[in-house]
Amino acid sequence: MSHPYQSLPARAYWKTGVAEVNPLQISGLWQPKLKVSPGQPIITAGSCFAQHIGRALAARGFDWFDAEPAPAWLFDEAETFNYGIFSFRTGNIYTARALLQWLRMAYGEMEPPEEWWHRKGRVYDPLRPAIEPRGFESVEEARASRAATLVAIRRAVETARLFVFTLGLTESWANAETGLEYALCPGTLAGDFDPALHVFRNHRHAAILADMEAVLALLAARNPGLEVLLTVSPVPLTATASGEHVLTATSRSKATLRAVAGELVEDHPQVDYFPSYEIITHPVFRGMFYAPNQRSVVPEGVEVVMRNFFADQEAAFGPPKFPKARKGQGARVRPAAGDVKCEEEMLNAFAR
Amino acid sequence: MLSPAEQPAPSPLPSLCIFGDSHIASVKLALDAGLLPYLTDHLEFWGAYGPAFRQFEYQDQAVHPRKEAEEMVARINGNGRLSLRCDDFAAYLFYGARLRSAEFLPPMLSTLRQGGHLSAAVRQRVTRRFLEGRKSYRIAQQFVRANPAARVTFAPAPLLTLGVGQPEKTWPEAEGATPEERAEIRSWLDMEAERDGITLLHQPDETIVEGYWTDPRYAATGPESADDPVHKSPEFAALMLTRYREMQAG
Repeated sequence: MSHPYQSLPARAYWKTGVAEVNPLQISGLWQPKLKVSPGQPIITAGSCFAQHIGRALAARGFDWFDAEPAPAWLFDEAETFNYGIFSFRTGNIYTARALLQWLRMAYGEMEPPEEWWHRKGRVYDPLRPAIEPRGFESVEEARASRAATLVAIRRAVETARLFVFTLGLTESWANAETGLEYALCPGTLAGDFDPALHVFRNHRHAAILADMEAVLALLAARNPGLEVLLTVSPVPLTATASGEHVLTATSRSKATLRAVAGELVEDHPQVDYFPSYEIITHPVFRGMFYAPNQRSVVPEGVEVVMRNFFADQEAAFGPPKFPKARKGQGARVRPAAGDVKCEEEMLNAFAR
Repeated sequence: MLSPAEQPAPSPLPSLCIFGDSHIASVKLALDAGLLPYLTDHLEFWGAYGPAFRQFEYQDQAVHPRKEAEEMVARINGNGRLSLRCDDFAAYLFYGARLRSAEFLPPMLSTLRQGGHLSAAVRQRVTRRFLEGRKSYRIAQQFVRANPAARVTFAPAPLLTLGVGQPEKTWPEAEGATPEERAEIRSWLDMEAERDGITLLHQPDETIVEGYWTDPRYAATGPESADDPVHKSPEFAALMLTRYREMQAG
């Protein structure tokens, strides 16, 4: 009697796919449906881990597109001002709702909020409070800077062929009156926490799925050829406001995001998921890619993730073909090469 | 209101030193051709060109050439002034001197014209790095610190000349930049220079075409200048020095 399991490849069985293989030699974790090609403009956004992907792609000669590049003469201070971290200067975008807000603002579907945070005479943008290390000198400056980022988002969306987005968190804080979702809890980096005004949200699966569907619809309307590669950040929560233990809260958050990503891939031909989350977090890898704090991902982990990325791409589509640089073309754009920027780390400053 | 011809001539400076690199050649040519306005009874040039311009050291309130540059400095000065002290003259005009507008204005115009925005903190950093990245600007700062009574002015080297030579890089997004856009970026430079007690003398807008190029009418005219987008004509220098005199008249 025949059955569907008879003809499955080795990777489909735990014994041959995992148990009999050295964890560092596990292969075929990703069967990509999207081809990532050199010369194809790639944009990145999302939580901290997305920064690694942008850097790794650029380091290998892929065309990472920086839609809001640092001005000339800023040199090594560009990263301090959050240039070159993502394809536009939003800072980390941790949730699907936050991404949707940015896109809606960029395309005039949402009025940019006039809520600003203040600290020591400086002005902070609640949508990206860490974008300027000392905040802005005025509301006017903060508003103009955000407007420039919205221009860059439009340029990025309309130029790119591939958008790599890393889903990071389900937990967030919002304004109860306006519904505006913040990048960080008010009062942590700037602003004043008001329990009557600021509400905790732990987005559920259905809400995240709906937000991501809206994101995909908006992207498709603005750039029908744009493909989307999702990842889930393997970085655990710094802190949870859910009342749960941070470990279980992390599990719930990541499981929810992972489920959303999987369904989006099933429902949309232009969406794919790369399992960097599994490579870092799965017990098979014995936590070896985490630093001693069991939270930060060590460079060797990022290297293994990206090795899998390119190996699986090559297995599916063959070796990448790099276009010859035309005379007069400068070096490819590279994201900033320093430490990964993680605003959520700000919460650590308030940890007991 | 008095017409320009009826207005009293500005008081001449007690003394003026024009300090610079190869750009001061156009000023000297303008002087020799009688194109310059009257500035002072005591005008001297001091500087060097080519690699020798890098052979200067500031020490004990004076600029000294290293051995390799001594002969050139002596030739350019012509008055036997081998070292230039901060109190030798009432006024100093740093002219060109490797502070190149073409390295700052076009990329900044490009950023702004693509919808970019620089916060005040970023503006200050990029401006400081541009200015203080040049030894000549740091010498100007030292002169002001050591002799606050001196009038120190810096005329950055002008934009490249349109259609001359083959510039290494062009800035398509800066094409068509307006005087207002250029003025905004120059105001960043002026603000920082003012903090240092230095006045900047910018290239006149009427000499700029297509947003970020020098009008080819002001191209360098000497031999071997057919492919030289950097240097300018004596007429350009005369225009700059006329502006300088007006600035000094206040």
